Amino acid sequence: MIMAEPASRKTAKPPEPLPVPGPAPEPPDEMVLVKRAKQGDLSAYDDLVRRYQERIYATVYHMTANHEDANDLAQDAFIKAFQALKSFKGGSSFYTWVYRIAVNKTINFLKQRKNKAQMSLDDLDFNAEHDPDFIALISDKTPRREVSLAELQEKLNAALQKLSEPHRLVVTLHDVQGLSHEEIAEIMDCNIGTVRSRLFYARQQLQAYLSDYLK
Amino acid sequence: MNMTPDQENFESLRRLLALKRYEQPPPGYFNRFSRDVIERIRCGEQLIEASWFERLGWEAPWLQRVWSVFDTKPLLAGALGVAVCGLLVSGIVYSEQVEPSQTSFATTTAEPSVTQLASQPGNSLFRQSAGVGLSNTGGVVTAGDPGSSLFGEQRAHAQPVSFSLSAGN
Repeated sequence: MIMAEPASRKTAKPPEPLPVPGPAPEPPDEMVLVKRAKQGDLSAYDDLVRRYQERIYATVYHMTANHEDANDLAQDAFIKAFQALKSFKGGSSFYTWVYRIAVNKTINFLKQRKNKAQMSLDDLDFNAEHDPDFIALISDKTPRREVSLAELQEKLNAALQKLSEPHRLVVTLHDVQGLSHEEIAEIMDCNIGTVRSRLFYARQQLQAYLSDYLK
Repeated sequence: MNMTPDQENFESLRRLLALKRYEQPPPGYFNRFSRDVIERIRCGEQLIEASWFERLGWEAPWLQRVWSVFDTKPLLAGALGVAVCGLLVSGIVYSEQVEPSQTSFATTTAEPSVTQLASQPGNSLFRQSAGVGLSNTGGVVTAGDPGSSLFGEQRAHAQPVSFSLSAGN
């Protein structure tokens, strides 16, 4: 189907997900940094942390919907990765390996937290108010609802929290962070078919939870 | 723009989910983040040791999947537990059945008796002893003649001694 591009989109660009690295982002450079970090070079490890901190934090944050938890878990993941660096054989990229540590830590944390979830959401970026998609969502799609961006943000996070951890993770990695099915399969250590089916199911669930905002 | 039906169906949802990208931590947060991580490493902060299960998560993910299968299907876990217990019990029972035959074998091949040793060529000590009537009483050697002894007998004899002192000085 061919969809017409709204005129408003030409003036304001929707937020792009963080650049997703290819299978091996800057391989020599990353491998050199990993090698130096393995020898105890903290400045090399600092470079690695800076390179991936935003993506790791974002994933953990979208999974927990809590800034403090995300901060602790993301830091712990990087520290664990440093402590376990000697066991990193280079079979996958360092990025995927750290991601897997962070994801496992987060899922274990969420299993323990289960019944005492409390949201502590990050503030919305100022640009969100000017995003044509949200202007359309708020005014056109929900003409009878006076909904603020903050309310929408809260509803969206609440809906995400209703999903099981694997489904939430797939939606976060694909629809929020823009990772490919292949990368998600590698991080979650499952096949691409599983990723696709989880994504489909998760979207169906979200669509049902957020039907008021999507019609 | 060509779209598949799935993409089309979820396009609104995907646009709504994109709102999440605007959620940002406090300004300057990422300037501190790596510094905090490195400081924690440098200070030698020991985090609580990762549980073996957590480590398996990233070192052997397939084991974690097996575990999660058991987690979701307790009946399967129970069946496996029963099977393991059954194997253990049958192993114990089998080992107890084997043990008595091994012990009877052990008694028949116990160390040779003294008379057997005496009959062997080259065992002169036992041949001499056999002449004085050694008998095997379960390892205890008894002499037939009470007067004789393998090591001889040493007896102390008391002799009276008399001292005389001269009274001339």
